[in-house]
Amino acid sequence: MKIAILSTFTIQMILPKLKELSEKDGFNHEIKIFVSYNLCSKELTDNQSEIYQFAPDVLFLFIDLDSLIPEYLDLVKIKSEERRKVIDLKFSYLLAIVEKFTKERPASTIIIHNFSVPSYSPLGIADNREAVGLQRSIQDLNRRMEDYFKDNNSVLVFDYDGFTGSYGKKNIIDRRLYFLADIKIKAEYLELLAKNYLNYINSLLGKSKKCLVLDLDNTLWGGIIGEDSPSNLKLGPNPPGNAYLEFQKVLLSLFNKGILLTINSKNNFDDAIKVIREHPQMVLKEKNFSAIRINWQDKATNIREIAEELNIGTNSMVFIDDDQYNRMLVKSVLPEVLTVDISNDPTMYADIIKELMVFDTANLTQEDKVRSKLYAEERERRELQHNLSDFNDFLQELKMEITIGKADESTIPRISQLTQKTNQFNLTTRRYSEAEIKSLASNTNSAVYHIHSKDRLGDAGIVGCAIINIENDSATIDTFLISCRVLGRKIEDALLHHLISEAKNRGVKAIIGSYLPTKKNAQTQNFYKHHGFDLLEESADQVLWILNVENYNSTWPEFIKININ
Amino acid sequence: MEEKTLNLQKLNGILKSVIKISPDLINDKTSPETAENWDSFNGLMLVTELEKGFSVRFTIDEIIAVTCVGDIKDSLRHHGINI
Repeated sequence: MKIAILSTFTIQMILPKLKELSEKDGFNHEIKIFVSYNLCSKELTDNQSEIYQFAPDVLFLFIDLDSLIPEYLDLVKIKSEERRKVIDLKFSYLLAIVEKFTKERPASTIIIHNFSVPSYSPLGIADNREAVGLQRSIQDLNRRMEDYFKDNNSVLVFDYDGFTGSYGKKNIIDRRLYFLADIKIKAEYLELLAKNYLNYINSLLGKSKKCLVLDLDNTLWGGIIGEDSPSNLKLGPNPPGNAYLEFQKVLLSLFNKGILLTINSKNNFDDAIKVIREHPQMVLKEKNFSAIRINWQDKATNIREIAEELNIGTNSMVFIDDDQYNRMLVKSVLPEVLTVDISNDPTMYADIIKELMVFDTANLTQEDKVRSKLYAEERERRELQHNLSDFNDFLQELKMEITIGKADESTIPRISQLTQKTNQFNLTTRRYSEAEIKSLASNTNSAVYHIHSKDRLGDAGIVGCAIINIENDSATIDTFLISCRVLGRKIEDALLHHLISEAKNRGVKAIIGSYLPTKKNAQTQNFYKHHGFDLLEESADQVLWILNVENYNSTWPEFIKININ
Repeated sequence: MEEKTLNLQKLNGILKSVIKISPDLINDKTSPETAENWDSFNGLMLVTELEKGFSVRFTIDEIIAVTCVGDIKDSLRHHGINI
């Protein structure tokens, strides 16, 4: 990925930190830093500027308050009403340069810093007694940026005020370096800023972590089940049990935003599950866990099994264990798992999780928020499947209902996310940003479909998508994917059927489907063949299939109720 | 080992890591003119690392006054470091 940072002051020193951290994540991004001494106007308004030549996929725009409003202290001389006007003006300036960039590079993402609200105002304690005090005017500016860009998929606002607040506005700057060399952030905080930036990058790449793998003893509670009686475990309102309680609350909040929680513990299953079910102070309940491994196997094997059970990659997992041996084992056997070095200080557990910055996605879709619940329902489904011998009976029993529609404002974030995250049932594994999906959806020669599925056990949301490009009487399927969660329910058949029918209605005679092999999508290699496509061309990195639409006469999978939007 | 030698080693270690200069080539006259990597930015990094290493804090005048390794030693001595 090409990443540009455009700043109004010296920030070159962030480059080695960004490189180092992203290499640790396994990426080799091309990163360039640009420093602007004209409030970024030349760099962003001139489409021949170095930035546009560089053609970044992501641009971090870091204009600091000193540069945007050098007259901050002078705001004391004017009335609230006029301060408002100053802010209006500054805001329209920001808007103009940001919109110029999004117009020039519609498929790129721009991440704009908001402004660190100064802790000083010459009005002192009277500042917040004016209609618009000095500090309030900057807060207003931040609020306006947030509101304005809220629904813009190509513009994200980085909460720099939150960043400086969290580490201390005074700590971040060394006034000597500032006056000597215009350095506004000390090296140690640049590293943290780099970490924050990568959180955005990884989230845009769909590389956020999805699942927490948790140890039990001395992690979710203090003490050891095998040695202490349940009533002696440290968990509850009194110290040190309150630290574990707080930790569990933070974990529960992650569950509620859709992060999967799983257990990986060396214990006797019956003893440990009894604590989870019966300990009165447990914040996390059995139903919050998507997979449970309480046994005497080594922890790396357990993690592999959990990944398989949940159909997720081990590289999307975070492992939390107080025991250094287990951490070392997982680090060496499964280096792609993020193993967090929690010390033996439980008072820091909650903060360590809060500062990980690996679970974020720029937009939370409805599917994200209920994902963890969906996985619980999935477990029920697996049980149901066990009980019904015939698979078709099982599908009948599910009373599936799917809805196919075209991409629109409300579905684009989820569609883009599916292209970013789906690896297994994905014929071409092409990744698209929201902005790219948007531009495909508005192109008359292409169509972007999504498929939504629900059944008697729950609503799975949007579980697949397809992109087809049509030119005169021939069409090419650019993207075809189904979330692995719902695989094997013939949802993919329904989506392909719809794609073909629609193309037929538009006068298409031939449809080409390509299969681009990856390490993970082997199961889709004969998908087109099974649906009547003929082999057109085959090479190591691509197989092309072609369908003569005239000859296609397949029907809907009959047990699925289908709605077309 | 003698305190002075230890401090000298510490200083050379910091110079080596920031300016990327071999300790055999370091003497009191070493300066931005003679050391290729000693630019204004690394000069500031040097300040940060020296302050961390010797637990001192330089004034902006001291920082500006430094022109060579000998000046750094003078400054450190001024802050009570035996070097």
